[in-house]
Amino acid sequence: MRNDSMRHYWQRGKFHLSALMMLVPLPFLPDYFSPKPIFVPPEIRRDIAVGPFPVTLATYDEAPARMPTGERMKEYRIHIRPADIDRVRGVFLRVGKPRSLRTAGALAFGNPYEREADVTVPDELGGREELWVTVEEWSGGVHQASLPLGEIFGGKR
Amino acid sequence: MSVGKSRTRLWFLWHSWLAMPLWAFLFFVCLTGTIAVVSTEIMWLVNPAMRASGAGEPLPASALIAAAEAAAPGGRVSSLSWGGSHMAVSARMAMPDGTSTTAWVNPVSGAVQGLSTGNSFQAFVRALHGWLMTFPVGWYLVTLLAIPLVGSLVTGLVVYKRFWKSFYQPRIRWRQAPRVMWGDLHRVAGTWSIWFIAVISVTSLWFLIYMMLFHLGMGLGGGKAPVLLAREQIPVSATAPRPDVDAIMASAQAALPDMRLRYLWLPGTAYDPATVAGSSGQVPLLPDYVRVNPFTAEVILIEGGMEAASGIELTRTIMRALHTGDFGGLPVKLVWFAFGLLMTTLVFSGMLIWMKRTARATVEAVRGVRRGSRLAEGPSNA
Repeated sequence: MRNDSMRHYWQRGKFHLSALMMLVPLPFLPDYFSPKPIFVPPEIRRDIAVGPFPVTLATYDEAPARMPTGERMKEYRIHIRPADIDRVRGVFLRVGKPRSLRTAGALAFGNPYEREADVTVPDELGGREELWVTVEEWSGGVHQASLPLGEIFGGKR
Repeated sequence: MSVGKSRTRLWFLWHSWLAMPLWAFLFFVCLTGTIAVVSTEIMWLVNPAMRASGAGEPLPASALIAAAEAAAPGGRVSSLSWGGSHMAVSARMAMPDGTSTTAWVNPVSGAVQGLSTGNSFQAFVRALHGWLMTFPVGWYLVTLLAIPLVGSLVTGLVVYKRFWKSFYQPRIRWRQAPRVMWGDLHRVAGTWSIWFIAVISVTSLWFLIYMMLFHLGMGLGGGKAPVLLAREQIPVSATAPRPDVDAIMASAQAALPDMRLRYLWLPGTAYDPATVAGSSGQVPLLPDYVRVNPFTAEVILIEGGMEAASGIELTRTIMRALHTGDFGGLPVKLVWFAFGLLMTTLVFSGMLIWMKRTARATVEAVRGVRRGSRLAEGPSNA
């Protein structure tokens, strides 16, 4: 008898099971409505002086993302002092030393207080690569500095 | 039973089984999609800061930017968006803590009527409807619904013979038993929304194909390089020159005089142009983008209409406009909203009919078979 009523519930209820799909977005709701992400992967931060400009680089402790084009990309956020944002024309990031300003790498964009750069990472890393930061001033000055890529890479390598 | 009759019955079974196991999910997606069509209008009703009267001489863009930046210390306006004469201009600002804030600025008085942070209700509903906030898995889950949707449309038309009668003789027996009423409603609503279901399922199918192309690494960028300024074109100065926004707007509007203004994007880097976007009505559904040198206010390029981009990008723009109904102002949106509601009703009534008829019929049929077999088995068990 009990078996029968359970079967009855199953027969009637099984077609409403797709309502469970509505649970999928639930865990993401709080994150969506807060101005800053709540659930963020651990972050790696490094301070570096590029000429007269103190710069903080930040990236998630995650391996680079594989783009549909096959490239590996790593996202960096670049903080410069609010007093400097109108002096800095561009911040460029590149794995390996740029040969000239034309090949300075990924140009950081977006919020001037927290610019963002998507840096191409070579498929094979020897472990001795360096991340080069180029800061170009509105007055024409160019400054460069570098740090070991391994210090600000993240993820398992 | 004749061959024709049993074939109809088979189609009918297909029609029932295509949507039924998924009905609740489909219902949810239809409902959130319907809300998404008018999400801006809903917020306009809820949030007085978004409203404007439309009367009076509008202020220049520079005054709106100055007002917005004065209201949020440290804020830097990155874009302005005009939603029509009844709406305040929204100014999106980059904030010192890395977040962004939107200021609602009255286009005539320049008063900042409110500030909102974080994601908008519009973005929330879109994320809920389009990808269950779970990208890209949710995107595939939602867009795969296009397949049962197409199936339901086709099988429905086969099953419902002479459906066109519903166009000129719509009959809904409101006073009859609920099953009869829901059945009538399902047929009439289904017939009247044939075009809409076709539009929605084809565009959804496109969203599925689009994401598959993207994940297969097929180029979707359109092959056109972004417009950038050369280093020699950028002035040298002690500090960043602030672009003359009013001159930028003036040259864009001189280049496309009958454009209905929608957006101004300020350069995202020192090497980017400013972009003024709107619809000039040259080609319906397709917006125009005017790229302007922010330092000289010269128009660099007008991208728009048919030659805007590659075939895929053109398809994307058209499919998006058709799916959302966002191409002809409020009247089109309201049509999309009404048919969205109708389509949601269609899913719900389909489920009710199934539960009231097909399920019961199935249970009875199964019971009958079992009773019959038990009787047949009786003697051998004894």
